[in-house]
Amino acid sequence: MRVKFSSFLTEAKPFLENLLKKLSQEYEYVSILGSDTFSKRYIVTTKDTNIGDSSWNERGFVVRVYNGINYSEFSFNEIADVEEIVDKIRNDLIVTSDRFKRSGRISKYPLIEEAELEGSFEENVEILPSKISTDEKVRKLSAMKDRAYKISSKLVNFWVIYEEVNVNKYFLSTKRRLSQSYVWSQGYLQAFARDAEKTKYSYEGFSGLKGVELLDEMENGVEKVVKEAETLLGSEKIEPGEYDVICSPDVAGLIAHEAFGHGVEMDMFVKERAKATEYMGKEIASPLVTMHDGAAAARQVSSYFFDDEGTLATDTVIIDHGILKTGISDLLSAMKLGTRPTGNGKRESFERKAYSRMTNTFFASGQDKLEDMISSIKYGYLLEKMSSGMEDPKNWGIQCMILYGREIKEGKLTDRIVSPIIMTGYVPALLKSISMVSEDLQLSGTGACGKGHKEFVKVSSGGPYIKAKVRLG
Amino acid sequence: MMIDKIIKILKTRKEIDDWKIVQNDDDAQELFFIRKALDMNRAKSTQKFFVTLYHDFEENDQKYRGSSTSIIYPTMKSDEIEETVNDALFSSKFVKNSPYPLAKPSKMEGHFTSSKYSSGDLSEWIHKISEELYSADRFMNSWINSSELFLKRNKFRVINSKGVDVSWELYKLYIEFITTSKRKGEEVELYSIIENSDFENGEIYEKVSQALEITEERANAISMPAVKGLPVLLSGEAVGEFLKYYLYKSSARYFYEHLSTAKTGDTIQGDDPSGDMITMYIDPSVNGSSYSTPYDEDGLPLRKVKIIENGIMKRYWGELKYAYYLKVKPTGQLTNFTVNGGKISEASLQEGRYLKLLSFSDFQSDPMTGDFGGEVRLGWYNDGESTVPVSGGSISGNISEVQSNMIFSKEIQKDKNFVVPKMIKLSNVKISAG
Repeated sequence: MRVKFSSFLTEAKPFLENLLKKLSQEYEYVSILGSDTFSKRYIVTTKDTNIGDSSWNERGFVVRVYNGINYSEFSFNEIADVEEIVDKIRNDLIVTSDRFKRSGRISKYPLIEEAELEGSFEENVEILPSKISTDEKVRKLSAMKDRAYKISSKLVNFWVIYEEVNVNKYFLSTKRRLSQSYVWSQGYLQAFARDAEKTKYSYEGFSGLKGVELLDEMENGVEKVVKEAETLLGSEKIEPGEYDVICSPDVAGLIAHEAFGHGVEMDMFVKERAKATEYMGKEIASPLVTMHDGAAAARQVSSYFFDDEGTLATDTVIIDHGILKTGISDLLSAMKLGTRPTGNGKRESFERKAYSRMTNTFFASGQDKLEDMISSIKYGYLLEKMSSGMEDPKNWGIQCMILYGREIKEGKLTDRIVSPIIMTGYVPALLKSISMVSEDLQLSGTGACGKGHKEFVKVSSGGPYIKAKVRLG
Repeated sequence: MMIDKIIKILKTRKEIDDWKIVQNDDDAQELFFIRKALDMNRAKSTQKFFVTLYHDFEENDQKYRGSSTSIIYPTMKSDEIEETVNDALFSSKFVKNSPYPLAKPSKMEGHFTSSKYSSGDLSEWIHKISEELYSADRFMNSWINSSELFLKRNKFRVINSKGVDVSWELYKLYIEFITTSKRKGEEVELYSIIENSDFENGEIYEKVSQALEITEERANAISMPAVKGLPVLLSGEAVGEFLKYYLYKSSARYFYEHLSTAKTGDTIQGDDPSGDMITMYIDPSVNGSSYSTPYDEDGLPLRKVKIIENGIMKRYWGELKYAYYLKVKPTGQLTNFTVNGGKISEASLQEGRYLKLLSFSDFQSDPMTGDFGGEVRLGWYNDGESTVPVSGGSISGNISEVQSNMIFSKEIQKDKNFVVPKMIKLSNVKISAG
């Protein structure tokens, strides 16, 4: 089913064309991004139900102008008098940039030179959100919750969360007219189990450029997540140390994303915050490692046709058989660095600045089989379920929080579970230690990625199972 | 006015038993710097209406209150607002929650201090703030690599079908800045955030200077050694994150959702605590905190409330809905909390061997399991004779294993949404070498 483009943005086009025309009389470069994203979030828990618009909703515009030295932006969400907006930009933003120009404390950027481009892109999903009633969706979510309670008596709460998001964007500049519309959805199952005063939980995420068909995938995950939560009640603390480990695809994705991906966002190169610049063209990882990022590199929640600066999506090979090839870039950073933008200029919403951001980030698959990888380990862990991570682009420290590890002894998985786990270390050391890569490839795009502690955008990450040597605590 | 248009539509739907609108007008100025040079400037002006409608119904002799929240934008025409309301009303019919009331008009207790940011233009204020930020950038071996400044004015109005109609204005300054230092050819950096709701002369200068000093310390740091059985002295922002566990433990929502088992009168630090006992308040009026607010999003006036006293839970805190479910008085929904200091000074806590930790990649404490930990970006190891800065490695533990003998410093710090002891001494924490 085709995702139709927003009627709001279609109706706003004459206003936007007029605004572009007026601003182009004063500024050498003008672009406008219009966003209309509407979504619904359904939450069914043991004690509560909630249906409403989700935090991904946005409707508004952001104007970017070249102020003669660099760029100024204005975000707004009313279709007001065009002259008022022109005055606001002139009297507010330009006055501020002029103040810094006079003091000499301003960074220079070249004028954006764009090739002419027009295009309209509409994605497809199996079942559009509008085709299934709220009643039917809530019924399915409630059934998952009810089923969970039949599996374990230790359960104290069970959350079923489903979100469907319809993204519409229109980009216009002097030479570009681009529109896109697509739907992504995500779901979470979270089981909370308790034994006396000990509480543990597990979760499972589901996502994709999908519609309501995601609910069927979620139904299949109920039993696994409940049993995991129950098993975690018997988990132990890990003894800190260095271990041979196998990372599941989502933990591999966490490493690709947090440990390495943030460090190749090229606005970090401009700020001289990225250690990666010292390793360009050099060996950074085991020859078994190839890593991609790109909105065109996979079909997941961060797949789009053009980014928030009107640059078309690409598939960037960041690491090719262990050699660091390039980073990923927004438009302004690419201009500053003299490189090509890679279609990674993303905004949290029209209300925020565009930065170099990841899209779908993953390690390419290899040729090993998971069972061979397990049997190759004398003592170590199979690490499962990423919780969170934090970047350190300058010093390449790693913080990956992982829900649990399954003990491997003499090449076999035992029943011993350790939880939670903090993976730390030095990025190149970890990447160079990768000695086996499985033939699987799975991406997941639940949650949101921040830059520092803000600017949350939709991304996916993943990979195959990888064997590495890491420090756990 | 847009809000009148929305109310008019809501009143025409007989199946809507109650409604609430939260209007949020947002104006902001933003400056982005690389080193000392302005890299981009931005401004923002937006308006949104968060409309919640409530529908009461019965099914199999059971009463329910359904609800659904939608966002209305100023660009929506009447027919689109009507469609949005109809859709939300339809959705609310499948939300089977136990009934609960809406807030009724009530008088605000106490006084909410207005911000200095309210006098003058945001663009003038943010320029002044940037000047103060960079006036601290005067060190030989460390510097500000980059910074992002956001100064926002939020005007709120909450109006509901029970007669609540309250308005207030909040200011929020958010500064993210990266400090770098170099030693032996290797540069290191630290990530810092300053947040406030009011201008305090010298506050930014002092915090930036402190960040530059500790970045130099990180440049001198050695890798975390393999040490066991040391007391861990948690300091800085991680103290607030650690103590947040107790805030969630006493949350009405968490108890109702079976995510917390704590009951009023319980000893909240285990059966036989021998260290400092927690006394915790929720406080909507911490001066200068950008999380302070006179009302919550139900339009309920907020006040300071003691929730834990000397390790004994005194009451639940929470929004109207969950307080009603638990049959307790609502405190409103707010995130500012304070914890009293102890009797021992920071200096006394640093006697003997210890590992003092100030900066983490992202220190986390899990409000449900009590697990806490993080990768260390800067700390100090004292082996009983000398002190060296350390970096890398991690700590981990569970609050249930450390809470019985925690010692709080008597000195207090204010940061983000908390006012808490500057330092906590913890035993029984696992330390992983770098």
